[in-house]
Amino acid sequence: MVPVTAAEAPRTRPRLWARLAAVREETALPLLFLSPTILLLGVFVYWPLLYTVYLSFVDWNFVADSKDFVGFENYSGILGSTLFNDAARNTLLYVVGSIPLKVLLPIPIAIGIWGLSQRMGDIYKTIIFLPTLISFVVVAIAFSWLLNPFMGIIGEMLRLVGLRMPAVFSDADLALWGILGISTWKIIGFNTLLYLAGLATINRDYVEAMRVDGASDGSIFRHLIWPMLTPTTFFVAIATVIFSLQQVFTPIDVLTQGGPSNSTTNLFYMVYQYAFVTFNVGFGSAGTVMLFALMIIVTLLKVKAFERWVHYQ
Amino acid sequence: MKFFPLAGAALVGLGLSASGAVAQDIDLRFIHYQSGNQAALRAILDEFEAANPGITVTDLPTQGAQTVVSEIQAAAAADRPFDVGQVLARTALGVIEIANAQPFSACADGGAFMDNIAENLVDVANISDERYMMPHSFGTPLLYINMDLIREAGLPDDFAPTTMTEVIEAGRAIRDEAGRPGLYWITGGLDYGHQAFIRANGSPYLLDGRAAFATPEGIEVMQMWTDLADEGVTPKIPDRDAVNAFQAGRLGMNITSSAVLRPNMRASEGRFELKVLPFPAFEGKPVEVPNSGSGLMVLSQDAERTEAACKLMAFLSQPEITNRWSRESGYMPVSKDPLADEATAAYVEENPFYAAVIDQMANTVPTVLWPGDRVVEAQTVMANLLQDLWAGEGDAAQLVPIAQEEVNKILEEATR
Amino acid sequence: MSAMTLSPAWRVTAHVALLMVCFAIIGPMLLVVGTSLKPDNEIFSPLPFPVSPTLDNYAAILGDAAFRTYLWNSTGTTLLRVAGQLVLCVLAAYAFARFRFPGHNALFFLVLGAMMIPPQLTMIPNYILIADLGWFDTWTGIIVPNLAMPFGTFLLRQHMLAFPRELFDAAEVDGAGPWRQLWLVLIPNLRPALGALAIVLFIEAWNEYFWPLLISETDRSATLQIGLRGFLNEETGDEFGKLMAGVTLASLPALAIFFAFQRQVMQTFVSSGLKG
Repeated sequence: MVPVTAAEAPRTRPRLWARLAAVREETALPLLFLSPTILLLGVFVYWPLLYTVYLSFVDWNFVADSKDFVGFENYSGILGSTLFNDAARNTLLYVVGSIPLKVLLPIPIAIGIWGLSQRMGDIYKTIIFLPTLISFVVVAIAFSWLLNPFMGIIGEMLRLVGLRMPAVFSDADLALWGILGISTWKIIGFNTLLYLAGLATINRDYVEAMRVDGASDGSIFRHLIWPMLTPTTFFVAIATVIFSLQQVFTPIDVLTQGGPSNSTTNLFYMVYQYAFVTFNVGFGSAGTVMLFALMIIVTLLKVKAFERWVHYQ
Repeated sequence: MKFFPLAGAALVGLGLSASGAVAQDIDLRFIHYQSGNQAALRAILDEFEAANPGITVTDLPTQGAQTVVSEIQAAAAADRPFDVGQVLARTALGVIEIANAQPFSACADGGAFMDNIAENLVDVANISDERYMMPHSFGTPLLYINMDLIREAGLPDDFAPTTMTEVIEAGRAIRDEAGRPGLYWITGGLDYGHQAFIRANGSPYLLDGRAAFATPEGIEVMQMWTDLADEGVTPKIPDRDAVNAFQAGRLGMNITSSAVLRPNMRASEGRFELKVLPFPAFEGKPVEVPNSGSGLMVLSQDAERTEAACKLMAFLSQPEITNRWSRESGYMPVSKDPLADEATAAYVEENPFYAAVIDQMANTVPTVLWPGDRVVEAQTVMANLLQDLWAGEGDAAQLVPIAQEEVNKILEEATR
Repeated sequence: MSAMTLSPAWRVTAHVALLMVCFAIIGPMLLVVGTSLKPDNEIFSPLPFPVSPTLDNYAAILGDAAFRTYLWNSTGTTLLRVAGQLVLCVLAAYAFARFRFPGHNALFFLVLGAMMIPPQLTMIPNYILIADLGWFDTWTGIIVPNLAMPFGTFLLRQHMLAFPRELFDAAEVDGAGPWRQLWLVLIPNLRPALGALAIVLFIEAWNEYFWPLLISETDRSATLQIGLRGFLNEETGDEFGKLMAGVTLASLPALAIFFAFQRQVMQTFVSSGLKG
């Protein structure tokens, strides 16, 4: 330790100020810039998450003065309910059905666009991308009219050739597939774009070189294109799972409200039904907490997938 | 109930500063779901404002009848009550509890304005002899017939069924001969249709605040509803699609609310010949039809605003106002003798279909009152019952008693 | 260079297949627009296009006071929200990209984490909070909770990190503080990225359904998406021509912006693919 001498003492003050000023600039300024974002995220994202955990242990209807602590009753109540069973089964169906339609189908589309001339490819790409821009409410309303079994235009056209249009959104066996279909229509262009981003990293000269060496189309796909697309596919698959969990909320709410006979509800919509249709806050919160656990797992997978995807790019 | 102390404190602060202000005009917040008839309603409210200086009315149209209940619940949660609410009659008890609605005896005139209302309709939402609801936008189910499809089915021009048996037979004929679905009857979104048809077949729906529909008659009706759907007479679709299909001329008969009278008349023009008849009876059983739709409740929480809200209720209860509202909106009249009103008598001359609405007034009985604050949950069980039957998950003899048990479990928990 | 990577046989197959996909995508859109142009007596005809086209349905929907209110609410809340989001994103991204400070990584993780949390998981407490704040059915309630935008923060930070450090140093030598560096050096150079982000944020806000569904109550704050949903009328039947004109009009702004700035929008959309 160097003892501070009397002569040195006065000089520390300005140095301290300078240092403080520097610290202020390097710490206080960014924190000031960040404060609105952090504050809003804290109030509207993180605090609600914690509060939901609390609400999942009480019996409440939004209005009553008392919130009675009920332990794990809400959790056991949900797990034993038919609504949860149906929602869990449907969630699985949405996810499984999404894989061929939203994850695999865009692969040949993307390869087709990539393999054609820039000009034609761009036209196809633009058209396929359009549904991404249209709101899900509009898409749902439009298809509810187009597919209306009695006077929708597609039904009327089918009638001309002697076919009968089924009541897609009010038939318990069909409604989920109808919603899956229109969500495919909406998302397919977006996923195609993700694959195109993956394909853009392939050097076209290799393709030429392989072809000169006499490689068949099949082997070009197997040995060059597919390996480059695997990380993208994994990423798209996870992103689509999240999309299928969360975004189908809107078509469900507009078209079927989870019915008929709970055949279209999923876990996200179930939470909404509990909380805002029947005002059972405890059940809604307990469902939310369970969903949150599920989301953490899926999101970790997504981060992994994203790292691999970026790594390959 | 507040869990954000700061926000709560801010609200209290606002409340204090508001009450410290000088006395000023009262602005009543009136929540309703008449977006389709808003102009007609607003005209009536303007007349009220002109007649009552110092009181204004802000009317707040919402998306639908069910939404009103959620909004009232949300408003109660936020401690900023509405003053007057247009509430579905069957959910009245829940709203009284949630929003602490005022009994009409709290009005300066003791609720005398209810003397303007037809006697069989006044007691729609009572608790221990206190009245809480004034009938306002009551619907009643009518039988709408597409006569073009009736003729195509080989039935006579003067086809005018009075019983369900005749209606169902005609429905089958339309399916067979015209290749269109023959008959749909209203579900009411959740369970209005269940109630109406189960009661029309002579079974109770609720008794002493508990479900009581798992009777032979109740099961019979639900099975009939299922069979009609399985036979292809009744399409398995929601009410909205049925209304649209009927208006497009693609459905033979639709038993649905009188609120659709005017839209159906407008839509049928140039498309098909429309006939409108009263609700058909089940063989040998009296016609008793529960009202659908909503009445008005006072939701204000302080004396001054309550009195202003009472004045609005009194104004809206006058026979010339209720009759006019009925003519302009298509809802059922609620006054004592609507035909005594010259304007209404003249209107019936011009619009003979409207007579079916007035005829049915005498057969109207109050809709059941669901106890407790979990009404929607209980009604959802009923909505799911029909969907499960339609989906073939069992027959009525199995599923109806299960549904009754489920409803009662909810009602017991809700009224504990 | 326009490389033809597919062999000729596959090229024909690709064209045929892609034409079919494009037809499946664009067919429903054309049917909707076709229906919106049909007069009342053709609405239920099986023809995909009107025999005597009319703009009556558009006149009817624009003549509807409620629709005009929804349009106004949508326009107002969307523009204010996007403007606020941009400001907050720029400030937060600048803080992360330009400064090292204690808690830097933890806060960055916090912001990124919020990106992964869908609004349905926080809706119950937020609903109560909005009620307590008295923000129900107000523009404030629709806008403010959405102002923090983790994805935008992340995207702009990436752009700022790629920005040559020397330019900051030069500005610093000229005596410009961090604040002036942001406005004079960074923002002008980030204009393309900000523009693309603004467009994506606009489309997202314009199409938003879930939050307004929870918060709006009446015509005071209901947006187009909520209003259109309300036009599906349970009791009295739909006017399909009018409804189809309504959904067409509601989709126009996003489509128009897209066609004006196609390239940037697509790229930014792809990078937004990483958000939850």
